[in-house]
Amino acid sequence: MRKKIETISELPPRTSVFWADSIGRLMKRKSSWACIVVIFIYFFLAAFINLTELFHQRIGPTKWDQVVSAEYEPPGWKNILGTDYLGRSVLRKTLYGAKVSITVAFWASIISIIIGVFFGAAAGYFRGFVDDIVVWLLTTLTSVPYILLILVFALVLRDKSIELKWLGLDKIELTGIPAVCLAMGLTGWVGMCRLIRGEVIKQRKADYVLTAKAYGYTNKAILFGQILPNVSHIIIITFTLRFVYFIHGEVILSFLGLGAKNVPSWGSMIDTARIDLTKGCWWEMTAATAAIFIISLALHIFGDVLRESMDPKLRVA
Amino acid sequence: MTGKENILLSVENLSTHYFSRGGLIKAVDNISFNIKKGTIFALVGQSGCGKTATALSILRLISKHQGKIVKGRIFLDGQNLLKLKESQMRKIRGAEIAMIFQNPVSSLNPVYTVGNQIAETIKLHQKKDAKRAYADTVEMLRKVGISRPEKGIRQYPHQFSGGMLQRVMIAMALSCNPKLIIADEPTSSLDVTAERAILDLLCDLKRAENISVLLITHNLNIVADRADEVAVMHQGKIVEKGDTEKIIKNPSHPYTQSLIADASKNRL
Repeated sequence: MRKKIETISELPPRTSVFWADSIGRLMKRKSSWACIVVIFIYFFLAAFINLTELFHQRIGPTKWDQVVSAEYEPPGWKNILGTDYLGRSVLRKTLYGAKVSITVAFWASIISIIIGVFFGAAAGYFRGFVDDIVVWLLTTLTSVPYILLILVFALVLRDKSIELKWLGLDKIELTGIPAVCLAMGLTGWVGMCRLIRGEVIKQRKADYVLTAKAYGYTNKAILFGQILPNVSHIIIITFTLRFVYFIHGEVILSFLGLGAKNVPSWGSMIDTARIDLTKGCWWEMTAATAAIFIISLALHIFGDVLRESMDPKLRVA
Repeated sequence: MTGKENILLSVENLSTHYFSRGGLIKAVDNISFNIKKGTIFALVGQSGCGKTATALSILRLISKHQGKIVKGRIFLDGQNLLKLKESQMRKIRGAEIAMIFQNPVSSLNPVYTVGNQIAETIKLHQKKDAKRAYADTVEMLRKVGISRPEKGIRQYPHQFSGGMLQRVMIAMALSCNPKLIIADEPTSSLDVTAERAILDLLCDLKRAENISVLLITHNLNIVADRADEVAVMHQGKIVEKGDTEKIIKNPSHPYTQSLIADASKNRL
């Protein structure tokens, strides 16, 4: 009998079967593959442009400000998506817009998830005083219309800068993209927080939590080790759906002139193309909206498919 | 079998009150009992009579939003549990007193493998490395009669049947060599065959490991030939306690009499 015990050479997986199961289910669906490809292209583009800018290279979309031909040239062989009022390539601007949108949405999502999950989990698990404070914050933030709230944050953060000397970095100017990321990150955690709080309230009464308590687990271990893995699929699903929301937020802010400055983004493209429409120049508007539409659709479908493959209630044993 | 040194758990004048909107509920009302080492002590009563509240009070798991232990003393091997700090109490839970719950299917975390959960508990209390903890887990699972435990530790709770999961729970309870196992209605969600198997397992383990068991149940039938001592609870109070045989033969309290009458009706 002893011998048999000694033969365990590898340790059993911790949670990987759950993830392997979910990913397996995900990969079986054709729609999820299509979405992954689309999302990957957008992310790759954003990463590529960010990298080229980091190394001060000017390739492809980063040369968006070059005049390539006459103004208002309709789509054709030379310029696939035509040119704008200065004769710049709409294709390059649209591609560059992906970088702005994805970067902003990514950082805004990260900020809002960290804040939302932390507050939501703490409020839901400890209830009482902590819950009162978090719920008060939530209701206060939700009582202000979301666009106005972002506008206020964006305006307040506009000409500020953060000293990062203690991190060995220069200060970050809170204009343009960083301001938009912060403004949306600091306002967008509300939905995630409410969702996580509700889910944790449901889970904390679960029998396995009582078991963990009865076996001497600490509150921290129960909250992060036992409860959060049970709601992690919600975090991931919300992340994909929130992503769309932040892309739209960036578009709206840029449209209103509070977004990224001096760089093309889908919002500012729509803003300028609005006037050009009267001149019969439809291609810039079309390109920007199509870019938004495709990534939104892909993320939405992907979020749904994710939910179906990860939600324990929808899983078949 | 008398004498103080033989007593493992001693509950004295314990009162636990729940505070609800409707007012004060005396879930546990001034109860006292002793559990001897290596015996099965049964707490019998209908649902809502305070059996589970008693068990949770012993482990000090009464949620502070709901209720409070207002009075009494609980001694485990001469140590008053109600005087301990929360951090000291955490070391008692699982290691000295382990608990088995009513519904094994929901009592294990669905996202972790069975082996992982038992091994985590071993790691928590015995400071063993992962490999040693898993080896112990396999041993525990074999001890409670799970065939092919090497495969079992890789499986998730939903891949087991209720009866098998209750065995897993018992394995988890045994994993840190506790002195006392509290079994809170361990068989009420199981079918009759699984029920008998689980109870027999508990009896065997009591004998083999010299563990005391606090068996909480509403079913006198399963108590009759297994428990050494029994206490009958009614509306938060212990109305009668003593040797199982004596109480079943000569119940003095009318509530006990009615329980026994009902139990004999249910017997096939």
